[in-house]
Amino acid sequence: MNKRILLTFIVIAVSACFNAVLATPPPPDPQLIPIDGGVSLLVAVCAGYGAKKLYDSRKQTKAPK
Amino acid sequence: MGNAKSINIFLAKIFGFYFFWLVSDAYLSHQFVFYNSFWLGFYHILLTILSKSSVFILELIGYQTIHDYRGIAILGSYGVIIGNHCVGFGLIYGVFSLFSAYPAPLKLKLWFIPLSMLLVMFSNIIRVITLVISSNKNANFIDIEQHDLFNYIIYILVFILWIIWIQFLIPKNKELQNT
Repeated sequence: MNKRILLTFIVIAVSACFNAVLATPPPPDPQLIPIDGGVSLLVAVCAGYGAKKLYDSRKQTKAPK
Repeated sequence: MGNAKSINIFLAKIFGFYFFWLVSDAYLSHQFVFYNSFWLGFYHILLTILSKSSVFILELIGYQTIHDYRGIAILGSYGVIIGNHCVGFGLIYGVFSLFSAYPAPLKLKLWFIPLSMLLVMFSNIIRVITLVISSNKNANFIDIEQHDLFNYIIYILVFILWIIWIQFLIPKNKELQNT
């Protein structure tokens, strides 16, 4: 009786090990691909550059006087 | 162009556009049903254009694709999902805000702003196609670097358009007006 229990235990343990080794991981989810993350920074940089250009052109138009 | 008033107006317009975006995207579209359908309509239009164009080009170059409203994958790969923040609405809105706020002749704005928006849209289509192909070639393309690289390329493209607008197009147009 004890031998049977032992044998059953060994079979379960071995199959569990095989299962763990052979099991393939679940497929990854498709990826989200956001693009809007850095827009605020981009607009801020462009606005700063634009404002500087306007300031420069203002200085240029004032200079001849 | 070029006085203190025009700088203030330019910055105020940018701030106004930005404020409108924040209020619309984060508050009004969540509070009011009619505004939600109006605002999400823009996302829907851009998503449809982006998704259908990407699938069309992918199939044109010989890939077999499976796709639904938001997902695109090459047969046998995991593919990508185009969420609301992937359609480039914020970026296109940003381009529109910048170019329309800067003091320039209306005639120039009428052709350059739609052209810039189309260019951004087209580069986003290329970005999605490249990422779908990458996910087919390498299932672990998730590596953020590659994804971010495409974003930086599009941001640089917008900045180059902005420099062309400020440095070349507006001064040239002004000269033509003066002659």
